[in-house]
Amino acid sequence: MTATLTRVRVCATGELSDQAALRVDLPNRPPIALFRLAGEFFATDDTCTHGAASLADGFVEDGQIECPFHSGRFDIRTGEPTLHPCIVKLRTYPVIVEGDSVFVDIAQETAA
Amino acid sequence: MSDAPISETEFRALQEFVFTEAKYADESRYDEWESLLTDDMRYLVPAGDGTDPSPFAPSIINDNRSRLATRLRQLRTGTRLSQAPLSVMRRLIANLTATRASATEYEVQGNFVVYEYQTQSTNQLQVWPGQATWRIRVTADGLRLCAKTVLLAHRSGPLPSLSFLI
Amino acid sequence: MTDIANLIHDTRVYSSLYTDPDIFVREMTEIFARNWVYVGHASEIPERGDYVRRTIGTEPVIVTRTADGINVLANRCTHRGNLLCQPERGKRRAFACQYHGWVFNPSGELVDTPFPAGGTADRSSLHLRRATVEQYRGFIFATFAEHPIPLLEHLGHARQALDRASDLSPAGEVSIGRTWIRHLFQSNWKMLSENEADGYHVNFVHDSFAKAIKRQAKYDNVLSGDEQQVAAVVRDLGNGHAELDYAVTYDRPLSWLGVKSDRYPEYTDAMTKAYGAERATEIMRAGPPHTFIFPNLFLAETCLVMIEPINVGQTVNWHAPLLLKDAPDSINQRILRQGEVAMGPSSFLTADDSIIAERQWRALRGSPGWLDLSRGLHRERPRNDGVIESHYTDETPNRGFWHHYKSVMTSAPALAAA
Repeated sequence: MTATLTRVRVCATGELSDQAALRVDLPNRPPIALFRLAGEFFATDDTCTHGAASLADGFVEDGQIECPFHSGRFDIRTGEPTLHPCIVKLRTYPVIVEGDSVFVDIAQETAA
Repeated sequence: MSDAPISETEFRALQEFVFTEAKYADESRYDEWESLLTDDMRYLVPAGDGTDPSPFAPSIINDNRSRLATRLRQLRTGTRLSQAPLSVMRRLIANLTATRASATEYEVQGNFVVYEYQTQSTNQLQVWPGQATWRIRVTADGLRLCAKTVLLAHRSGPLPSLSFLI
Repeated sequence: MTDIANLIHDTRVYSSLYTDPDIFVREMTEIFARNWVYVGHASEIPERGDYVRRTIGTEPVIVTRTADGINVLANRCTHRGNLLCQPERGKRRAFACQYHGWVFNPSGELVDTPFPAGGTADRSSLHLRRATVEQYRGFIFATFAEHPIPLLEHLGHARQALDRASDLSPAGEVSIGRTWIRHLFQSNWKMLSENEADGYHVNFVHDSFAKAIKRQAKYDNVLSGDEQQVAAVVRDLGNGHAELDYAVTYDRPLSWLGVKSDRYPEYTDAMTKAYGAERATEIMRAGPPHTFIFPNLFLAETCLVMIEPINVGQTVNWHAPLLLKDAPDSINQRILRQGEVAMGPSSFLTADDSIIAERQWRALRGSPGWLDLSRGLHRERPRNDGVIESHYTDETPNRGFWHHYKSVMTSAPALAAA
């Protein structure tokens, strides 16, 4: 099995706000959540590590995303859990902005 | 607004005023209670949990002087069923603090609980706890009440008829 | 089990209908759960995720706005029965039970159960009980009936009352705020519904009010004490709905608000623009409805009232001002002030109605018997459309209520699965 990084365009810069995350569904993998904090862009897995919640349905406050199911929190920039009951780190992805497009580098796993 | 602290004498006068107002209210002495009021007196008993910023939020009582006069007129008829016969009441007032609100007015705040024996239908003892704020003005005729705001502890829950002076 | 049919005749009913706890339990299913019950107004939950807590009879429900519309869900976890949501209102994308962390989405589906390896039950069968919901002019009704009749069929001739309330707004919509006043009545819910469409009591129960105010408009008419003079009417609207109508006592626009017709020029302009001069004038003259919509909604002129039964001898009357969307602040302020006169525990009117209801209930509990509802039978006027109208003091509305109550309690349509 080899893992290659693929740069995927996920949205336009204008689609993101500081108040809420945007969920992006990609083929053959779990969804990604996009955030904008003070002009910078971040990406994490959208599925909470504690349950089946979509973090894009949650609340953004003070650089953290609060899960809508049990109100646990993660740091958006690092993916670290910051409030119980979330205890497993959330995967983050590097974000690249070119013009008015936002890209994320995703590891696409392909069969050997 | 003067920064001079409230003197012992002032505090005693304010306390006595508050206790007198309470006695008239307990005993349904409408004429004497009304004689304590200024011409611009405002009587407010808010509803809800305090988080509604809307200017259109309803209140339990929101009386300007004119509406308060109508309220007292209605009580004096003796046929207002919710106070006919009169409830028997006794209230306790405590934790009083007083501040100077302006050159001629004080603001007194305290806790209260009114014990009301409801005689009109249920014949049960009702308990009404809360916090009251009295705005008291120095006039040529002595201390007078220019505003009373009552925050009932249970104001966001179901309340039975409240036709007496709280 | 008591045969309800034996307790209700054309002009008399038996007092146990108000005092028997077994009848109350049956009502919660047959009058409330199986029928269309008012649960809220769209303006109370404007954004996705907004919810309020209400009841259908005594069953707690969550009324919430989702991406696709409005859902009404039983507020009770399907695991071990905990109350799912305690706050009266809020905004949530999911409802997590505080007992074991089970999570339901706003459609009532169970979407998450912590420590899943131990779970054996089939999640799809553990969804929240969900009511059927329909709206009319933003007024939201819900039912647990398995095959409900369309809402408009239930509303029947009461539909015009919802129109009458909404059309007072230039935008055609009422607006309900966040704060409710709850007035506790230590009596049976039907004593409230009867009082609210009763004109006969006004001269007596509200005698002190008549003496205290400067009489004008409708009060001038109905408090005159002369039976021939009283021009306001009562109506049995069918399906248990009933109303008092004061429109005939209003001779010019806005007299129902106790002001001169030109008092609010901004409002008059907005209404003229929305409806045209002729229609706007008539809407502003006829004023708001005073209509009871079976079983729990009362359009109380400048207030909206919900009747919440608690038990056979306890009821809460909720009210909020019936504000008008896109109307100038001055007129909404006036509506707020007017509502304070009529409704609430310290109001000039309803504070005294609760005393009567409480005395009634106590007297009947101790002294049961047949109650007379024959007043006006000889002079009521059936219309071609089935509505029955009569003199303001006649018991036409009461007879209409009991007729419908009896037909509902003695039939047995199915309830949706729990």
